[in-house]
Amino acid sequence: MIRHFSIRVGQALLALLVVLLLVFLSSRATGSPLDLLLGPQATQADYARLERELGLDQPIHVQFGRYAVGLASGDMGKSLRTREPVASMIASTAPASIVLGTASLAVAALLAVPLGVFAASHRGQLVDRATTALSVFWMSMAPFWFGIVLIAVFAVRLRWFPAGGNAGIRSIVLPGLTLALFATGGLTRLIRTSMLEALGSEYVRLARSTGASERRVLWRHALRNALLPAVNYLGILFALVITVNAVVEAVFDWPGLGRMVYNAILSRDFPVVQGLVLLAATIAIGVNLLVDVVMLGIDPRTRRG
Amino acid sequence: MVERATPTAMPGETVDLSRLQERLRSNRGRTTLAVVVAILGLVLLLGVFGGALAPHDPFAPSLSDRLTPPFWQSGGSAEFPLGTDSLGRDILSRIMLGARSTLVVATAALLSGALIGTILGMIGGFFGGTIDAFISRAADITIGFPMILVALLFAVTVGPRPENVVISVAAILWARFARVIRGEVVSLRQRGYVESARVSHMPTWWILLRHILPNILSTVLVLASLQMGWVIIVEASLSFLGAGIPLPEPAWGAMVADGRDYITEAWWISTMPGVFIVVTVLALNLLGDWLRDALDPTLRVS
Amino acid sequence: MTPPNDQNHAVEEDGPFQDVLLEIRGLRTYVASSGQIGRAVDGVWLDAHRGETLGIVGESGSGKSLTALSIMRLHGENAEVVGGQILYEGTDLLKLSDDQMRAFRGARIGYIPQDPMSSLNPVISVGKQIAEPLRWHLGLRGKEARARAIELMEMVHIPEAGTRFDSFPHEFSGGMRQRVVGAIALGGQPDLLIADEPTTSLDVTIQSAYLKLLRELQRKNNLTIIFITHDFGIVANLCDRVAVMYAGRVVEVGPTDTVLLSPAHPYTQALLEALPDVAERTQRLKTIGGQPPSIFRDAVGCSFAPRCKFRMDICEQEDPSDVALGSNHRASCFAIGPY
Repeated sequence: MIRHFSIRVGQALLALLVVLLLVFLSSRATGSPLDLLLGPQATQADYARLERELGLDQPIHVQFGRYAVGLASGDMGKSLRTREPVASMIASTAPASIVLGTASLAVAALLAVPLGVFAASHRGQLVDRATTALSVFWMSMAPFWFGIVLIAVFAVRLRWFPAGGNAGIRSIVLPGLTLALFATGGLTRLIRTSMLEALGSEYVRLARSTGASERRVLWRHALRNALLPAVNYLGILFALVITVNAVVEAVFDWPGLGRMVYNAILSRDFPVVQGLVLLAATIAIGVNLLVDVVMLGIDPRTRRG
Repeated sequence: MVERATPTAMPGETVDLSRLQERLRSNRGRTTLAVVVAILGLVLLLGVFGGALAPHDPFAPSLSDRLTPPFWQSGGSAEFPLGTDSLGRDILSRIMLGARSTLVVATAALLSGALIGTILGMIGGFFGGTIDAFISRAADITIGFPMILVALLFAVTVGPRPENVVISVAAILWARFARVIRGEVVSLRQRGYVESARVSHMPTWWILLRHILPNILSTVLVLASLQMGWVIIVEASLSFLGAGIPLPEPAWGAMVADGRDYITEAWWISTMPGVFIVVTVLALNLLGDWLRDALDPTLRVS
Repeated sequence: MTPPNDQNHAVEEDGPFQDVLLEIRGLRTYVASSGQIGRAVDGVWLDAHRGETLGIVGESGSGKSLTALSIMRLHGENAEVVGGQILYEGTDLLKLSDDQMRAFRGARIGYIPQDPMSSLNPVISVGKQIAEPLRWHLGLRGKEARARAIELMEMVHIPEAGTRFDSFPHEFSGGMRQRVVGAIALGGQPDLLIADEPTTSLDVTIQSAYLKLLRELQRKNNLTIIFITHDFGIVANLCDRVAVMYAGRVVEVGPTDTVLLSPAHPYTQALLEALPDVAERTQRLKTIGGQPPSIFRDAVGCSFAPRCKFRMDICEQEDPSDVALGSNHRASCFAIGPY
C-alpha cells in the first residue's frame, strides 16, 4: 500500500517537473524571453537588469535551476500591466474561483447522482430516456455559448440576475449554473452506466434472492460499486472544470483566475499567464493524485492488498 | 399397458409474448440517425464549399448595414438572413466560411491525437514490459491535464494560431486513445491466433497490421466520433478566448466572442454561430453513441 | 395404472418423499436476444418433494438454469415467464405481486449461484452480507445479527468466523466464498434451496467437501434441494431423484438409481454412454453427434429427433408425450415400448 502510494507521488512529482520544464522552455520558444517578460514599454536598462537577474548568460540547466528555486520561494514574476507580483495577484483572486468551482461541482454531483440512479433503475422508460437525452444535450452545449444565452435571457430580457461581475449572491447563479450543467451531463451518464452494470451483476442478483427490497439493492449494493468509477472520473472532471472555468469567468466577467488569464492573454501579459498555467497544472496533478489515493482508500480490494 | 398422455400444451393455453416483443424493439430510432447524418453532411458541405457558397463576402465590412437583426425580426431582411455584426458583415456568410476553419482545425487535432494515441497504445499493449509501463503511466498523468493550458501558453508566447489548437489538443487527446487501445490490444493478444502468429515467427509489423489493426479499428472509430464533439468545443472555446484561430478568420468561437459586448442590443451575433456549434457537437455525440452501440457496446469512455 | 390428471404428466407418487413442496406446471420462459424470441424453457413439468434432493441435468442451453431462476423470478430483463404455474405449497408464485414474491425469497426459497467470484458484493464485508437478510427475515440487528451471522458462518465451516466476519470477499478462496454464499442463502431459514451449479467453478478436490457440506446442511435444516448440474457424478453422489432436460423440456425424470442404471430416454442413454469409462482406457470418447436445436426456431415434433438413433417418422411430426415407467419414473419418447 505504502509502496503504491509512494509510486503515485513520485509520478506526480515527475509530471510536475515536466510541466515546469515545458513552461520554462515555452518562454524561450521565440528566442529571448526578455521580450515576453518585459513588454514593449521596457527600456534598455530594464533589459540589462533582467538579463543579469535571470542569468541568461549561464548554461540552460543553471537557468532552469534558478527558475525552479525562484518559484519555490513564491517568486512568479511581475505582471507587465500592473507591475504587481503575480503571486499576490493569484492569492487575492483565487478565492472567487474556488467559490465558483466548488459550488458548481457540488451542484453537479447533487444532481447527477440521483438522476443517474433514477435513470438506471427505470431503464428504458420515459425518465431514463429523458435523462439520457438531456445529458447528451448538456454535454454538447459549449459552455461559453450557453453562458451567453443565459445572460441574454435571464439578465437582459428578464432582468432576474446580473449580467456579470460579483455583486452579491445573485451573481453566482448564472455562471454557477453554466459550469454545473456542463459537468452534470457527463457525470450523470457515467453514473447511469455504472449503475446499469452494477444492477446486472451477480451480486445484485444474490441480494435480490435474499429478498432485499429494490430500494436497498439500489442504494446499498449497486450504488456503492457504481460510485467507484465516478470517483475515478473526478480527476478528469476537474481538468474539464478548469478548462471550462476560464471560459465561464470570461463570459460572466467573474473576478476569478479565469478572467485574469483571459485579460492577460488579451494584453500579452506573459508572467501572469505563466504563473496561472503553472498553478492550474499543479492543481490538476494534485487533484489526480488525491483521487488516486482516495481510490486506494475506499476500494477494499486495494486497501489490504 | 403404457400410459400415454395428451400433448404437452395445456388445452386453451395462450402465451403472452407482448412484453418480450417490446424489449426487442430497438431504442434508437432510425429517424434520429437519419437526421444526425443529414446535419453532419450539411456541416461537412459547408466546410468544404462554404466559402464559395456564401451569399456575401465574409470579410467586407459594410457599416451602413451594421447590427441588422435576423430576417424574422422587424428591421431584418432576407438579404442578411441571420443578421449582421458590428461591422455590417453578414453573419450567415461568416458562419458558412467559419465552418471550414473550425472543421479543419478540429479534424487535424483529432486525427493527430488519435494517430499518436493509437500507435502508442498498440505498441504498449503489444510489447508489454517497461515500454508499456512507461506509456501507460504517461497516459494516466496526461489524461487529467486540462487541454486549455497548453494552448493558452502557446497563445501568449507565439501568438494565437490554429497550429496551437492542434498541438494542444493532440498533446492531451492521445492519452485517451492510448489507454483504450492498449486495453484492447492486451485482450486481443490473449487470443490464440495472435500468439500462434508470434510463435511462427511472423514479423512483428505484419502481425500488428494484419491481426491487431483490423480489430481495433472499430474502437478507434467509436472513440474518435465520441471525442470529436469535445474537440470542437475546446477549439471554439479557445477561439472565444482569443487563443485559438485568430482573426480575420471567422471561426465560430471567435464570432461568439465578437458578439459578447453587443448581447443587449444584438443578441444574434453571438447566438447564431453558437447554435451551429451546439448542433454540430450534438450531432457528433449522437453519432458517436450510435456507433458505439452498433460496434462496440462495452466501450467505457471516461 | 396411474390415472391421467389435468396436467397430463404422470404424478410422481411412490418413493420415500411424499409431500410435494414445489410443483412446476407447464413452465415456459422465453428470452429476447439478438432481435428474436427464444423458447429457452418450453414446457417444463417437475415436482420437488419435501426433504429430497432433486437434480436437474442437462447440457448448457437446455434451460436448466433459467428454470431455476424462473422459480425465484430472478431471470432478468431479457427473459419473461410467458406461461405455466409454479406452485409452492399451493401458491402460484407467478401470480404474486413483486412485494409478495419478495417475501418468499430468502424466507422460503434460498439461492446459491454458480460463480463464487462474482456473486459477492466486493465492497461490503462478508459478515455484513450474511447479516443483512437476517434483518428483514428474523428482525435481527446490530450485535444480535452479528452473533447469528457468525453462527451461520460456523455452520458452513468457515474457520475463525469471528474475525473473518469483517473480511472482504476477495480475501477468500473460491471454495470459501461458496460457503459464504451458502450462509447468506440459509440466513432466512428457507425450506427450499436452489443450487445452480454451485461446484462447477470449484476445484475438483474442493467440490466433494462442498457437497458434503450441502448434505449436512440439508439434514440439519430440513432442506429440500434442487441441484442443477451437468455432472452425472454429482447426481449419483447427491441426488435422490434426477430430471434430465433437453431443449427446454424435461425428457426424463425418476429416482437416481433407476435413471442412471436403466435410462429410458434416448438422450439420457446417449449422455450416459458418452461418459468416459475409466476402467476401459482404450475406449474412445463417444460423443452425441449433432447439436441441440436453436431456441429461436419453432420445433415440430421431438426436439431430440435429429440426433436420435431410435428416430421414427412420428417423432418428427408430433411432440412426444410422457410415458409412465413405474415407481416415479417417466420419460417422453415415442420409442419407449410397452413393458
